[in-house]
Amino acid sequence: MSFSTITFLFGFLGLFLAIYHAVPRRFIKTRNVFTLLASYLFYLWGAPGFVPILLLSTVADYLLGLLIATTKHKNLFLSIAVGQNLGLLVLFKYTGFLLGEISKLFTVFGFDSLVWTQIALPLGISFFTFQKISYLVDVYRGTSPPQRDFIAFALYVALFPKLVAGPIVQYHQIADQFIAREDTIRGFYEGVLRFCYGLGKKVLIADTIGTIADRVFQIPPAGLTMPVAWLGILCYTFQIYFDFAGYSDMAIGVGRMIGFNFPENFNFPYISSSIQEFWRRWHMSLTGWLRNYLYIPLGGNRVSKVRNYFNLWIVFLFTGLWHGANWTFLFWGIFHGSLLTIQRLVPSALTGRIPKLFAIAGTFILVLIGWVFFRSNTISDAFAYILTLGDFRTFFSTQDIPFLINNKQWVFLGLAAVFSFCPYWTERLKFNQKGNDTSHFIDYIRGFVAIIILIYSIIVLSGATYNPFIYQGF
Amino acid sequence: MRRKVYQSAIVVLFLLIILLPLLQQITGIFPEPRLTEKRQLIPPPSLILDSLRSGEFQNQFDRYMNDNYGFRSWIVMINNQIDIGVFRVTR
Repeated sequence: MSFSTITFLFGFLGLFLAIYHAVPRRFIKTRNVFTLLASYLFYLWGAPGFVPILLLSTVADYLLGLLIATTKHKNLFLSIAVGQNLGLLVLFKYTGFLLGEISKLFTVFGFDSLVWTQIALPLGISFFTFQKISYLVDVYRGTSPPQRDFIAFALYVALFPKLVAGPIVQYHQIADQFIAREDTIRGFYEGVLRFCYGLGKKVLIADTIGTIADRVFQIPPAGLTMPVAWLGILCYTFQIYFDFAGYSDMAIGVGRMIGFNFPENFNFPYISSSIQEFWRRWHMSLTGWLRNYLYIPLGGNRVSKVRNYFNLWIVFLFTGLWHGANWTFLFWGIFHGSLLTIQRLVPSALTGRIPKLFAIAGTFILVLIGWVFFRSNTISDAFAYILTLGDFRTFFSTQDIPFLINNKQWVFLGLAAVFSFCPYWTERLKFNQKGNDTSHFIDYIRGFVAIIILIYSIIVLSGATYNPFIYQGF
Repeated sequence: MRRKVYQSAIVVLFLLIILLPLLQQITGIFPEPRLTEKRQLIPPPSLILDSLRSGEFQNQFDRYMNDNYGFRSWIVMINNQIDIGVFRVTR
């Protein structure tokens, strides 16, 4: 089930919140049981075939967590636990890709290609696998005690707002919240604001301008002109940010409505003045996870320079592959790893002289080029697209632009740029952790704007459900 | 205190916005105008275990909700008015 569907908005969410808050707050265990059942229903809606996998792997990790905490063979049980989680991830996410590549090699050498059945990818597996590994490692390190309450552990894994697309919550960040949660009008209000802003980002901006990116990327490279290529990748650059940040806002918002505090996922990534800064602002819950459970165990910064660069490359290869089993994602990871390595090799005295505005513009263009690899179907398509971005022979070929973008899309593309590059005003209207430090006036505006965004998002969503010209009805 | 009342009002408004369409869908209290759509609207699906397991029920239910949520006719008309009147865009 997606947050931006009518079933979720006008069915699941309202009923869930009504029943959840009808249970008195002192019965937190009852609230946990109800939230867990609702989370399984949420998962059943999107991936019914994979509910048994989610349940069985939850039971296995619960038992392994207890074993890690109580036996002398911590290393052995941690290896088994992490191994079975990564094994499932590799089986479902990468087997098809690996066998496909091996099969291609076979055919090159004159052998018959391999035959295999493509396995569907369980919804959210990349997210909940990382969260389970976080629990197991936290218990192994002693950062958190093992969770003996099975319902609480299962809820940590399956909690529906963050189940299918994050934020990736590390166990120690949330462990206390299964026993006691802040349950106030202020918290619910902050959640409402956050949810409404997230819905607007997704429905009004990402979905509206995403159709332009889809149409441009369907054009064969030979038919592309420079202005159209720039329009397409600019729209995709904003689409991916507002889509993902919107989902994260909605997840954080629903979490706040029931008393959970999830970590932040984005912090105006496109105002970064270096690639290093970009990765401190983009998908922060993933980078936080990779830092704690991969980069630091590899030695982090406390190793030789060469080893440090190697560690960085491992992290970025992992980042690329985490997004999907395709060469394009892998190349995207390599691209960012290379940029970060170059940035570290260049003396800071040199990079420090670049005016901030140029540094932001340069970083934005590099990130934008990276998205070409992310969005393209193949590496060769991506390179052809990038060549078109620099093809000045078609610089004035703007005649296709009016057919690709309408007034409404121009407006939302403009708003996307404003909300991406003007953090001050956006931040003032955003949910603020210290809420009370805003003036009454700003607080009133925030609430009013959130409700307007909610209403208009619902209105726009209705457009997608209305089909006035379906010819089969004639 | 005033801030708390305002926050409570926003919360209630939010809950009304997401719950009233369901109430209207179930009861049909407010008579809605009929939209001229050149197709049949999706009827409610019947719950069969196999269709639940395959995901067919969920798909059908989503389509049923899209076509039948409360106040849909008015919301669709407002959307079309905004698209045409403000953005000069037609589908």
